Amino acid sequence: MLAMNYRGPYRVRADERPMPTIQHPEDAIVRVTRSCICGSDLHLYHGMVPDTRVGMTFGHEFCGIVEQVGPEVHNLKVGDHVLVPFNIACGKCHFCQQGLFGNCHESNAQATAVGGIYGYSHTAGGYDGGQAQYVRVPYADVGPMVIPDWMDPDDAVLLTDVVPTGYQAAEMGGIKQGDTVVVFGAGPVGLMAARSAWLFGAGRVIVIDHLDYRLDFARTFGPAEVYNFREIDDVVVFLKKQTDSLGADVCIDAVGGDAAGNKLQWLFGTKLKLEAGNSIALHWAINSVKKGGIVSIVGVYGPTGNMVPIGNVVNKGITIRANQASVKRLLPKLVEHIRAGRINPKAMITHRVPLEDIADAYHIFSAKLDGCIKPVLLPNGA
Amino acid sequence: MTNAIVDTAAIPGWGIDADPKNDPTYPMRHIEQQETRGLTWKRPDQQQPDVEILRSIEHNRLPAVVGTSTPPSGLSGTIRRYAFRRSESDWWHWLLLMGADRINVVEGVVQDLARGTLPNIPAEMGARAEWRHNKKGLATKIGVTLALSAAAFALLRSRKRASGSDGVALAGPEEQTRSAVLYRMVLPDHTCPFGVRAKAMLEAHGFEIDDRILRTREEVDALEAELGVDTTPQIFIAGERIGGSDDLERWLEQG
Repeated sequence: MLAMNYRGPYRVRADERPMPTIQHPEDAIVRVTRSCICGSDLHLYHGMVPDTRVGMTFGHEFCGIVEQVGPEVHNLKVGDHVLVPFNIACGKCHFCQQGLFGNCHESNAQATAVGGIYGYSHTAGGYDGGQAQYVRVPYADVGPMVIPDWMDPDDAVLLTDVVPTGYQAAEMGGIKQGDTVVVFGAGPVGLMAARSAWLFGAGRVIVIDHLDYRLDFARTFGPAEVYNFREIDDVVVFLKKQTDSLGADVCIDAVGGDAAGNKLQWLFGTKLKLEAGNSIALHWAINSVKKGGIVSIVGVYGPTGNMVPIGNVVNKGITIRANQASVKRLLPKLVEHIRAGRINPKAMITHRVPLEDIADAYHIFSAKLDGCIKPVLLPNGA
Repeated sequence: MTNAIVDTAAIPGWGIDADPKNDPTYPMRHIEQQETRGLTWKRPDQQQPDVEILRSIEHNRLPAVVGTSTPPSGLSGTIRRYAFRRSESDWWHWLLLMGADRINVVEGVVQDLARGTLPNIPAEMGARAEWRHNKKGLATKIGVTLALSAAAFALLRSRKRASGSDGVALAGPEEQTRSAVLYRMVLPDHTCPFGVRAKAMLEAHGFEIDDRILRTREEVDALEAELGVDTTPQIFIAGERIGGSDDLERWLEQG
């Protein structure tokens, strides 16, 4: 089968690889119909995540047809078209039982701080991912959901990560009616966070980024007020002025460690790796939220440490909420939102690429070429 | 950029998920359903991995399901094994893994070459897309790369002249693919760690491995009786019995 093959920072290609096999009674093998490149794959692609081994196949946003099931899989059958949440979750452990499906204790040998994630380095369990024609899906009865007949597979594949992550970002913000919500980052997750903030009753939604083409999209997709921080002298002062000098009620970090916007952070975090990525978005979020406000983090950072103004968190009495999205918990609600036409995730897809051209797809997405917002791979043809 | 104030009445589903109980928001700890609070849940079956799995020392047992992508190998693998002696809270754990990642890139190129493929690095980096969408950027990158290589080349040449030597050819003994036969035990409830270790050592030394897995106690007993030994794994290289994993380690050290 054809699969993405990581060769080192900024180097990927598609190669023939052995077919995945059933390795546990609750495994299934899925033939991939759609697979996205996620902004968080770019952290891997840029060599920022420790224990990213050469030869691994990435990809944690995919849907596909069930080809084979292990003896302990009872809810899925061969031929089902399923969307597969990016979290590998057992459904039985202490954490899954609390609905924390992104924090499963039975799916990641290499680290306890995060559950297993498909194709996301050995720090997230060492599973080959879905940027391939076939993929091994553990705990197949727990995570995957059969795609309803009426749903466009383009929406289904975005339900595996982008939509629930953006939605949970807004949910964790504890938004109350009329709140001003600032979303840092106009990538797919930031766009979904902005869109979801309205569902929780936000009064104002402001999106901050530095790419005009993404801000233009956010203005109508959110819809939201949008500002390019490159055109603003000091983002924090600007946001204070926008909010009667009090600060926003809720700030959402939908950027993570690959941020742009601060040269010192870029040098320390992105280039020298002295901190776990450039944390300027989180820095701005903490300093732009009002006293007693909530900062919600879904941006991905490395496992070490970051320079953030923690003293201001104390002095302002800020609540920080953060997690990997618990996809399974949110799916029923999000499926209903799509059915009712309240959200339209597939509008974010700008590129459709055969798996053979994966190197170009990664480069276009990483270098923000050709107006790229969300690329989708078609490993088994359209 | 002009920004109109968004009219919330025009947003389909505005406020539909607002919830006064959502403070500071769901999910906080929901433990009503839990009978116990510790490591006592009914576990899924234990996967028996047939590759080496490095386990965080913050785990007290292997998770029921593990990923089997790209087991540790080569020098980077040795560094990774060492890194995993330290906890996730230890900065060195992560710095060593990052270092191993970089060494692994070189190993990847060597592996490609050993298989007889010259990796097309510009294509892997998306040069075609760069050409299509960012010609100016591509030209700059090529220009800078050429200038830097020319400078490096000139510098090296001038050094070589100064030392008056043409350098020594580094032709090592011709590498041959070596092969080994490995008998090791993988029972339903127990994967022999020494067998896994032996396999990893052989891989690290570039052996082609005939991996003969003994899946039942009877198979293990039969082999041990046949060879007149009482442990597994057993390794054979070029028809010669090397012994177990410790014997293999000594054998490999002696070259």
